[in-house]
Amino acid sequence: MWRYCLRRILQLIPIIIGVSFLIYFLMDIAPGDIVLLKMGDNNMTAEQIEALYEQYGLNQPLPVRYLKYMGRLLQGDLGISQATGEPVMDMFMARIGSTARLAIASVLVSIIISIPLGIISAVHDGTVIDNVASFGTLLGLSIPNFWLGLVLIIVFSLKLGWLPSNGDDGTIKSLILPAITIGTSLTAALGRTTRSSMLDVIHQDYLRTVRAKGASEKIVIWKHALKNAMIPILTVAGEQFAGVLGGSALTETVFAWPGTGRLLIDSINGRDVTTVTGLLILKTLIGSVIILIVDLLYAAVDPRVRARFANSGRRKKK
Amino acid sequence: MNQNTVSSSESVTKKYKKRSQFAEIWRRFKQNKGAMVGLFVVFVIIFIAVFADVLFDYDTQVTAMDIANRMKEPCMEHLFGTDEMGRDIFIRVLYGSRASLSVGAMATLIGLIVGMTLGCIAGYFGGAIEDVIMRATDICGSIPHILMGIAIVSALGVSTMNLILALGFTSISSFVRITRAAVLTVRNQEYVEAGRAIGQSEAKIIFSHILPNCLSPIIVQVTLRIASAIVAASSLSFLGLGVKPPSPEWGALLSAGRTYVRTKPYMTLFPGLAIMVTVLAFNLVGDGLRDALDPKLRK
Repeated sequence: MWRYCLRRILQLIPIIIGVSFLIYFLMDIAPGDIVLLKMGDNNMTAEQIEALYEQYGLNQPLPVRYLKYMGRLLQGDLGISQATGEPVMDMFMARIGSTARLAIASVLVSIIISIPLGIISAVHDGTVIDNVASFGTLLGLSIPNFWLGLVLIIVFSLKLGWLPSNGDDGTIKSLILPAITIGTSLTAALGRTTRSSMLDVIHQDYLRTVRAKGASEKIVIWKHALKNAMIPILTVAGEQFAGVLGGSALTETVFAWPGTGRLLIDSINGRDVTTVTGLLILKTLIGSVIILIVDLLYAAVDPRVRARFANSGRRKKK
Repeated sequence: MNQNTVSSSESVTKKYKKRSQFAEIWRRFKQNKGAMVGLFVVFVIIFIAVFADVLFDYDTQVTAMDIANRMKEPCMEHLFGTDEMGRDIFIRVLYGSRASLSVGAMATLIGLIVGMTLGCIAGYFGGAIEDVIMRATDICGSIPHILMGIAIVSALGVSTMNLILALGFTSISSFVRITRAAVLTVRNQEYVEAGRAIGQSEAKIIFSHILPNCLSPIIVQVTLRIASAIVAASSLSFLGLGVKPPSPEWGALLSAGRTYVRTKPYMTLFPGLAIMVTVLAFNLVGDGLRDALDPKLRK
């Protein structure tokens, strides 16, 4: 088990290096660096420009700058924002709370709706109920997130006046619309996963045994079947949580949600390359780490997964 | 599908065993009503996109301002109303299918060509080259697609071409994975062995034995990818990182309408509906194709 954890964590390292280099490289070729920004309209001599490049370390080759950047990243330093003059890390930390609350709320919405929906769909496989539910999830997958957000704002904020249309005032009320917006697309994906995962389990022999010993259908489905169908469901839910934590830029923009996604969009519009680079790397890192944690968690919870690694460990020792 | 139709379709299969594979797939596809509706809608949208410039004049009907008629609510004359410059939203939405469809299709094409080639090489040759390709795929796949798209467009500059490149790049990883997985299942089949035994070249084996037998999952992936590329393209345009105004594109139309969301909600309603209907149609076709191409996979 520990060997497995260690291997998975080690596997993450090359991915982190690759991802951060890719993003750093991409942002490096982005037009308009900080020196051009500083130069602005004032006429500078070539020496002055040269000095500025040296001051920001931009005269060094890309790999050197990347290594220095990563060295500072490991110490939690992502550089200083060109737009605000604040450390990028501080800007990120100030906003991650809002994004995290939105992510938790969206995934909760998704789980609460999609697991019952998927199970009902699987139990009634091929019937009208299943067809309606399947079409519903496909519809949910097809609605552009940001548009759903706008429609919800039009209906519930502007016409009915029930819920606030933008901002995060720390209450549940301001969380409802953005969480439903993101939750809808997550529900669609998670509902489909639940359905197919349940269908895989539902015809297995052990369920017949459970029925034979006289358990009610409710117990059979919700206790015995669901337990075994849970792994893919949890994996997808974990990926979704990681995804929202990293990339709900659109919904956050639509609802003026003061999270990291909106910070990213604002930084792109303000040509704030340092912030964009830092945010992209950080978001990808957090996403990968969460997916890893979910993987490790179910390896810890599920005896079948555990047994597989215990065996492979023993074989290696021989 | 219930038990009854399954058994009847089996007897039909026996009766028409001589029919070509394509006819057989088409017969299965036709049974799926949702997929047929989706296919019809896809054809209609493609028709509109192809003939948009025959149906409407770009300079006078699509981009020309008409201040006297600005911000008109939907009526018979202007089905979807008019925008802040008096342009007919119905015409702009229809014309917008051009940008959205072509970006979706081109991006998917890039992903398909590059991804299929790399996936094929990885799956067929294996070894170190497979490791390199798959690790690179893991790296690209672990960056959230929309973030990757944002990064590429903001690095290369905002233009339709760069939008296509960005979305194409992000879809490569899924094509690599799917092609490789399919090639791996086919690679050791006996007919491949037979091809090798009679001395066929590697290229001949790959193109005439391996790829044709890997097509099903790839075709399904293409339809689903076009759907998600259309959403991604409109998302980026909505953020101002895609197709630039005044050319009509659904995401850009949405973004323009958003300014007037308080007073003129119809301006945001219709472009979004267009995206939804198009994406839903492609998804329906994709699902139908998956069931029709591989009945064993049907769950």
